[in-house]
Amino acid sequence: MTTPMLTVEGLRKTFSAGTGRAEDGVHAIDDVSFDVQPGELLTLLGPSGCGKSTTLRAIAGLEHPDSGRISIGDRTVFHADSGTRLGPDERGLSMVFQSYAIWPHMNVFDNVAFPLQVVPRRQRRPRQEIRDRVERVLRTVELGGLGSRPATKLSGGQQQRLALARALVTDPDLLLLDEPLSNLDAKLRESMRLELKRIQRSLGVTSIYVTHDQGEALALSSRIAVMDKGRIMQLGTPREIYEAPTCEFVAQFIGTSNVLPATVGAVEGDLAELSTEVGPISSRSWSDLTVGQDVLVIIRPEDISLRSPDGEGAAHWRGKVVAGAYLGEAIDYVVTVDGRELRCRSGPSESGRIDTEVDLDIDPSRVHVLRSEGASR
Amino acid sequence: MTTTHPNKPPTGQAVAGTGQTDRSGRRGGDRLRTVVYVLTGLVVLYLVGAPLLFLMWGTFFDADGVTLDSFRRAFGSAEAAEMVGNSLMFAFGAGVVSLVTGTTLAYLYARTDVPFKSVFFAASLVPLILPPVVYAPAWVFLFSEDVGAISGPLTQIFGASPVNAYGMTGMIAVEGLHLAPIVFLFMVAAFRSMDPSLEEAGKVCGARWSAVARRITLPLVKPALASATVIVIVLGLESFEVPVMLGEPAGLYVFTSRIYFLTNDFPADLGAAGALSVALMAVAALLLAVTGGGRSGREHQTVTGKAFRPAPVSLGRARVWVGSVVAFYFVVAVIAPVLVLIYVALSPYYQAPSIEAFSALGFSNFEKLAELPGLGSALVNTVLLAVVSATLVMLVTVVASSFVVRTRLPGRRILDWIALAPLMVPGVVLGLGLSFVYLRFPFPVYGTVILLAIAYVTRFIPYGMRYAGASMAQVSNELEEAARIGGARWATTMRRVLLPLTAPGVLSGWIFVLMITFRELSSTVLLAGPDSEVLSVILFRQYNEGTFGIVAALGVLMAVALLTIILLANRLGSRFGIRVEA
Amino acid sequence: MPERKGATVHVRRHRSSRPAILLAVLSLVLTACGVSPSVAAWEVPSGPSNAEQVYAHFDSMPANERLPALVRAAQAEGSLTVNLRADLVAPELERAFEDQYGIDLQIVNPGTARITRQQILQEARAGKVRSDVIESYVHEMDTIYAESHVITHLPRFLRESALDPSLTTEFSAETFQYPFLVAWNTQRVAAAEAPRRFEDLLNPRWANRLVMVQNYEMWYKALFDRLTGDGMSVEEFERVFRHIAADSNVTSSSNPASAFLASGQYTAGININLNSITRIDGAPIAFEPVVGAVPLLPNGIGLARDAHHPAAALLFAHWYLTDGVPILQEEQFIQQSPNETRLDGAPVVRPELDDLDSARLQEWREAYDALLRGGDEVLPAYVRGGTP
Repeated sequence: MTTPMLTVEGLRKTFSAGTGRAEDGVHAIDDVSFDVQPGELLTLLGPSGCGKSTTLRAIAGLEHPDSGRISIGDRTVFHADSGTRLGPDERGLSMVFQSYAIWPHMNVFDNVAFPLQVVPRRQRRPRQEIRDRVERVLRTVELGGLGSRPATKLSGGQQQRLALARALVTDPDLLLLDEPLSNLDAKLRESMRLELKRIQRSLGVTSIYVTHDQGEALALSSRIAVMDKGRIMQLGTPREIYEAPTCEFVAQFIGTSNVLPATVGAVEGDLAELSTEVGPISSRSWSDLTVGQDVLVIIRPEDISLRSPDGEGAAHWRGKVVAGAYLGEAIDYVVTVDGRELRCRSGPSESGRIDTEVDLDIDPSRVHVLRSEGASR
Repeated sequence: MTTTHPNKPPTGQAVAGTGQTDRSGRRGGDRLRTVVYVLTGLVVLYLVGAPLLFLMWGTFFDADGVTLDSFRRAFGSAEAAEMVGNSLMFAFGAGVVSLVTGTTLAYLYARTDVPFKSVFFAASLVPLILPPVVYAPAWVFLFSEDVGAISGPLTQIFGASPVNAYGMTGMIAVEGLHLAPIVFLFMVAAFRSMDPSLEEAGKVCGARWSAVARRITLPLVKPALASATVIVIVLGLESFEVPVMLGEPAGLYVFTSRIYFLTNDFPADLGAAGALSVALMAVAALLLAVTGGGRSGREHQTVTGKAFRPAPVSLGRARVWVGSVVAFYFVVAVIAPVLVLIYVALSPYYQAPSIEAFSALGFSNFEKLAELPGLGSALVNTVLLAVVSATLVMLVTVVASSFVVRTRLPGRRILDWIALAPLMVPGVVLGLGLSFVYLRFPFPVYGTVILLAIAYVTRFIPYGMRYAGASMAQVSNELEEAARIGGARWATTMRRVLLPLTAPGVLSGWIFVLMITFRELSSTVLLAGPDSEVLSVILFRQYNEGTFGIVAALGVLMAVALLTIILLANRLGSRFGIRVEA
Repeated sequence: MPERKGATVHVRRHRSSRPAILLAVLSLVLTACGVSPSVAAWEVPSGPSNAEQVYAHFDSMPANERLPALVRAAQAEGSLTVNLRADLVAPELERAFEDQYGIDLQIVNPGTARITRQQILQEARAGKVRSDVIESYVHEMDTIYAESHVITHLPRFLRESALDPSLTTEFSAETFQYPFLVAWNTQRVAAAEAPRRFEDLLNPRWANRLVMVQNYEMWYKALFDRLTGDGMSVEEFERVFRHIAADSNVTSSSNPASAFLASGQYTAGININLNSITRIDGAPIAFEPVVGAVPLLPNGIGLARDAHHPAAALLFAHWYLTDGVPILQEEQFIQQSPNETRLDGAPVVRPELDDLDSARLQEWREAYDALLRGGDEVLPAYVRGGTP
């Protein structure tokens, strides 16, 4: 493996309460470490206040952590112990802000050209080259020909692209994106997400992406770091995160999960038999279980299939449909089994009527078992 | 004006809820609302329009009809040109001093890790606690040639004092320092309302501190800076106390002091005073019109993201130096004037500080003050006027700004414009205009406290509009609409929804107007009669009489009273969200 | 004000507001019909006022009946308000008058002569002159009459009550005089260095250390009359006083000038009212030996044209000119006769009022103003013309 593009080690930051700086609660990061390989897009995912933005701002140099080390390539840009603290202007990275931070007093061209214009005179590119590069990057983000337009006259999506263009114009080693899509409406967000992925892939720019939107994270990321309360709860590929959450928080935060406390009844080969408060269930997705252990069973709604009770074969559980919501591509049901509500999702062609009894089938290989403590790795 | 319709209890309406009752109920509310709005509009129009109309009339007409002779008399001499020059130099000079001081302090406060941050807001209260009629004498006590508490020792050391309270530099320095806190508050707001990520984006793009300041921060606050510039220059043009107290002894006249002396000289030339007033207002209006009048700060706003407070700029090693400059500013602009006032108040007669002088300190000035004829009635008048004027201002402006801010009725823009117009009418000019109106008034209003109340309400309507309007704009339309849909008529909606929600802002405005009424001088000085003396006029007269001990004693008491009001207001404020700012 | 969106409440047009505004403007214009407000609002009265009739009534009485009748009428009125310059003895005067007649006396004292005039002008504009009796400098009294007509011709018997009828004009009877003299700060000026003559003040050591008071044209005229009368040429007078004025700071009245003198801000004052010096306890100010000549400016008392208490006003004026004199002499440096002086050995001058009509008074005003401003015409044309 090559040298990581970014290494973050043991980052900590506490905002003492009462300084008035932390607007909603205490944004703290607590021993955060990870690295990012060249070309990778790593997403920091978590609820608001989990420390993901503080981490990103610490990487950018906009926030000074209390301890830890940050290296970009083989250059240490922050090291609390040695007192190394490079300013944001000395780190050679780019950032797309949540608010886009488009300078309203400049036109589109000047916004994009700014990073090229502020480099020290000796290293500054000739005027014509700056013009060409700006034009090229504007075309990349499909803003070609809009250079002379006032930045504030752009639509939301265009402003977003402009912010991206400004970040890309320097060919940065590292691109930081702080919830770049959160100010767009749903439709635009979807298409920008694909667009962003295309651009990131085609340029191969190493990126760190902060979001609270799990859909975005799953769609875009090479790897995802799920954060909560200043800590990384799980770091892995989207598939790992989604299919094999290592703790209850991740399971709950990514997608919708039915989480049931259970006790291990027996382990036979790769099949574990567990008893839950709504009945027994088998799982093929587990590790390190001992009989009698208290565990959590995690079942995704789409892994529960519903059928009429009069069908054949023995069902795992029998329940009653109490609510259903037609979502177009699927139907969400709430089914009570022994008084406990489970979320189930089925294709739109299937139907279960409210107040009817249904049988619930669950593939044991889709039943994920966590140790009850649910700590991170 | 917020009573409900007597015949139809609102509950019946809410219960019935049919389209028909709803519509008729609305129409009832509408009629009351229309009446109230039209009446308020007329009151504002009369208050602002009448003195200006009469001023024009008195200026452009004489006994024989239309004339421009008043302008010839006002501007026909070489002294007039000098006076205009002085006015502009004073206003622009004070503007520059206040802008540089205020903006620098605001930047340090809002963006850096400068020490003594708590001192900044204390300093920003100076214009409220030490009104010009007290602040200017304090500066005389500090910097009058040879004997000022500061210039005296300087003279003894250097042979001559580099600073002198009298004359153009003194006027500019005092007015500039007095206006600086206004710029400060204005620019702090501008720095804070700016999306910090705009600067951060610059830094991340590789720009140094200086490039960020030059290419991003300054251009972004430029609209606010432009507005602040216009405001302080107009305030400088309108300033009365400083030119009269510090300029006249040096033989320097500006528009306002010339107007005052023209109306008081023998023979009083009211026409010429009117001509100067019209010219002064024209200059102020021109400034406001050319620059868009302090309202241009909005065009640069974009979507703001998370409320991340940016890490303050570290001043590094400069922190100590910057800190000592700030401390020096605080000492000169705040501590020294207060101390010197106390010292002079305790001195038997005005003298330079010395060991003998300190040993002779006592309370004789306060005893003299207690025996000052007319002080008692002046005190009663002042308090009465402050309470009544503040109440009337807020009453009128709550209705007027609900009209302007919360409806889309025709005429609201015009009303807004008229209600803000007194901002460009200097106090002396308003006083002159009002004296024109009420000398002719069929009822004996001239020379009474009623006329002063009219003057104060007119002058301070813009401030009321600002406070009431700002708090009205914060209330979501939906809250009001919900009440209307729930069946409440306009009056009920006002009383039950809008007023309670805006109460803290309205109360803040009330306190603010109360405080500025308390020390108003520039219009009072032309309107106060023997039966309507107020404290500021007594202060001004005692200053002119040279009884500086009494001036200082009264000034100290006034400052204590104003400070008490502020502290009370802020204590209340922490509970009810009241906030008083300059 | 930011515009609110989505105000769905009635957008119905209110046609009623526009006519209402028009109506308001129209009514303003209509009520305003008349002469421009910058032209004096009061008219020269035609015919005698009530008070003037009362004055005339008592004036025409036989002298022996007059006073008892006056006392009865005044006591029936019960009270009066007088605007006096003699503020230092106001409490004593009030007490003495009330003790003697049982009439409630209120003395108001607005400050300098100029402020007295402004205040009376204000009262006149408001149409409510509060004072029944007004006292100011004799020449000011003429101005007050010219400006506002609030005072009226003095009854003959009052003029005759004055100690020096020569200083009594149509509108006022002389009451007492203020001496105006050169004064200096004793901490700054050693006794040996004190000025003796006005010419001594031309020494550069006084440059910019002097103070002169505005509006003291009568002081200026009296001094001019005296010094040129003593043999100084007009040119020399002009030279000396131009120089002094150029070295002087200007204040609005004697009180601040004295305060500045006491503080040491100015070293010497040129025309300081003695009354202003004595009212500062312990002030380090000296004025003796007296420099040059000391102009005495006479104050005079007049009657309000629209006095609310005309009989009491007459009674007080008479009392003030007779029984009040000893009280005045306590504090006010009274100079009832040119021969008496408390400034031992100092030549005193009284301004000649006889040759002063209002036009000449105005010329002196402008000349003194020009002197202080450094203007050209520092003497009235009529005195300059006399000495080519």
